[in-house]
Amino acid sequence: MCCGICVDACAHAAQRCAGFLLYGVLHYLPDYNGLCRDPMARVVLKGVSKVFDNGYEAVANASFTVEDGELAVLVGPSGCGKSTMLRMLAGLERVTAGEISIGERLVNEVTPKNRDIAMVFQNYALYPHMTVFDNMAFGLKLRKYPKKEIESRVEQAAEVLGIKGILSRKPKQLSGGQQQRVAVGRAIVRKPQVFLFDEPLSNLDAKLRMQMRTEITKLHRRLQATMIYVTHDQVEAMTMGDKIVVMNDGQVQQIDTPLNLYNSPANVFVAGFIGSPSMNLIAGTCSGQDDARFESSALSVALPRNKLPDHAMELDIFLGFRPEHLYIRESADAPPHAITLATLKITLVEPLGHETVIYGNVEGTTIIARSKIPVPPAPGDILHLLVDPSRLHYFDANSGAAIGR
Amino acid sequence: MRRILLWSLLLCALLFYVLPIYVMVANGLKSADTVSLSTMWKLPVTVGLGGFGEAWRMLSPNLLNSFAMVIPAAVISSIIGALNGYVFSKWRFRGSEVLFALLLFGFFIPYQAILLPLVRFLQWIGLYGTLPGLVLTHIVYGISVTTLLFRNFYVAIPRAIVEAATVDGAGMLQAFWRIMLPLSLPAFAVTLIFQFTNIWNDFLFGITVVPNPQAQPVTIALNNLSGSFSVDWNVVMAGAVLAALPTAMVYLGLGRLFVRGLIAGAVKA
Repeated sequence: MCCGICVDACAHAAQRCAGFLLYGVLHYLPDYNGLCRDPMARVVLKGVSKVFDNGYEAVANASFTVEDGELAVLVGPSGCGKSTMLRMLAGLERVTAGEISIGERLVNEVTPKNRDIAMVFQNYALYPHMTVFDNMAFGLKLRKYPKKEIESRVEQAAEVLGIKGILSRKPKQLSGGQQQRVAVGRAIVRKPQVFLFDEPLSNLDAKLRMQMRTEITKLHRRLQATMIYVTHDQVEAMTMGDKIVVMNDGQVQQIDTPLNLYNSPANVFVAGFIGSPSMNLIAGTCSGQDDARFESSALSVALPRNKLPDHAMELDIFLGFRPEHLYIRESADAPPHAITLATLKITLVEPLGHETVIYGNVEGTTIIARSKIPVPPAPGDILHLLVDPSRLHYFDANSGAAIGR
Repeated sequence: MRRILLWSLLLCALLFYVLPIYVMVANGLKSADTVSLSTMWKLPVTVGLGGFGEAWRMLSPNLLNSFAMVIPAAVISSIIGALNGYVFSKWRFRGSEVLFALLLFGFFIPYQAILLPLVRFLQWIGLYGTLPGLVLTHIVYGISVTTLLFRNFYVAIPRAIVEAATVDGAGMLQAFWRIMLPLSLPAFAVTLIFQFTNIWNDFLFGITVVPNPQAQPVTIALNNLSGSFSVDWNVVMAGAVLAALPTAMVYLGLGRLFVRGLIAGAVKA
C-alpha cells in the first residue's frame, strides 16, 4: 500500500516541483513502510465541553468525527477554543462533559502516554539538553524499544525529514525550520494512531511556512495517518485540510470540506472567516413578492427569487458576495447573467500583479472587489460593479445562519 | 576624570570589605605574644603558622561536624525544593497557590520563635542533642527558600516541554528526572550556595539543638575559643579564617555553574 503512495507522491512532487528539497527527499526515500502505522484510528468527539476552574467555557458541546487517515483542520480566531480542543484530545486537559474516542476506544480517562497519540507543539518544546537523536528517541526509549529498532526508526524519520546531518546537534544549534522538523520527527518515530499539531508553523517566516505546509501535507499522504491540525490561518486550513472544523467562541460553526466552506458557508462567521479578502456582508432587508429586492442604505439589488424561500422575505438579512465574484461593467470577463450591484467610488487600490484588489465606498458602505483588469483604476475613480447572482449568499441577520442553502 | 572617581570609589569599597579579612589573616600569622590591640593593624614581623596549627588542632573535629551537617542538609533540602518547585510550577492543583503561600510563610519565621517547640519536638522523636537532629532542623527550615528558588526557575521553563514528555510517555516523576533535573544545574548551584552558606554560618540552631561541645559545628566551637580565659588572638583569628574558608570555596566552585542560556534554543520565543 505504501509503495503505491510513494509512486503517487513522487509523481505529484515532480509534477508540481514545489521545491527541489522536497522532491529530493521524496525521490531518494528508500522505504517508509516502517513509518506507516497499522491500526485504524478514527477520532470521535461527542458533545465535548470544557469549562475551566474559573468558570470560563472554552469549548461548548463540540461533536465531530475525524475518519481514519484523514487530515482534519481546526481553525478559528485566537481564543476560539481550538487549542483547548486539541489539548483535550491529547489528554493534557480534562474533558468537562462529553466523550472522546480514539480508534473506537473511549479515552476520557486515559493518560496522554496511553492514548497512542503524538503531538507537535507550537514552540516545538524540544528537550534542550538532548541531541536531535535523543529528542526523537526519547519516547521510544521510555517505551523500552530495543536499541536497534530505535536507531532504525530515528534514521528513517530523519531521512524523510532531511535532518540526517544534524542528529548529533543540540536544539539551540538549529534554525527554526530544523527545530520544526525535529519536532515532527519526534512525533513520527512513535508511529502513533493520531498526530496532533498545535499551530506548528506559526513561528516560522512566511516562506518557510509555505514550504513546511506542503511538506506536512505530503507527509500525511505518505503516512496515511489520522492527523488533527490546529491553526488560526485560514489559508493553511484551506490548503491542508481534507476536512475543516471552523470554531468561534468555543462553538463549532461548520464542519465541511474546504470547497464547501468556501461555496456555502453555514453562517455569517464562516462566511467572513474563510476567504481573503473576506466576503462583503451588507446588512439590509429583503422585500417583494414576484420580484425580490434587497435594500440597504447603500444598495438596491434585484435578487433572483428562486434562491430565496418565502420566509426570507421582509426579513433583516446580510447579503454576502465575495470580492472575486464582482465584475467591472466595462471589462470583458463578466458572465452574461451578471446583474448590476452598485456604483463605487474607489478609495484604495492594491495591485498584486495577477489581479487587483479594489476598495470602494458606496454611501458609506465599504465594498471590496478583485479584478483581473490589466490597467488598475486609481483612487477617486468611479466604477460600475456587476455581481454574479448565483454567487450571492443570504444570512438571517438575527441568527447569522445562512438562508436558502 | 569620571573614571578616576569611579575607581577610587570602588577601591574604598574594596578596602572596606577586605580589611576584616586582612586583620584575620595578618593576626593569624603572628605569634601569640605579638598580637595586641596596638599592633592589630600591622603586618606580622615574623610569619608563623603556629596560630593556624593550633586552631586546626582545636577546631578540626568541629569542622568535620560542620561538614557532616551542611552537606546532607544542603543537598537534601535542595532536592526537596526541586521537587516542590516542579509541582508548584508544572503540576498545579486546586489549592496549590495557597499551599505555596503558606510554605513561603516559613521563610519569614525567625529562628528564635520556634526554638522551644523545636527542642521539644526533637526530644520527642529522639534526635535532640544529635547531629542528625540538627540536619533535620536545617532541612525543614530550608524547604521554603529552596522551593521558592526552584519554582521561580521552573516557571521560566515552558510547560510545553513537560507536556511533550508526558505525551512521549513519561510520568510525572520521569519527566522530572529526565527533563527537568538535567536542566536544573544553575538552580542547584544557587540553592546549594545559598543553603551551604546559611547552614554553615548558623549559630543559634547549632547551640540550641546540640549542647555537647564535641558534637557542635565549627561556628560554636569558634565562639568557645574566644570565650575562654586567656585568649590567644592569633589562634582565634586563624580559626576564623579556617571557619570561613569552606563557604568561600563553595562559592568559587559552584559559581562557575551559573550557566547562562542553558535552555536557549529549546523553544522559539
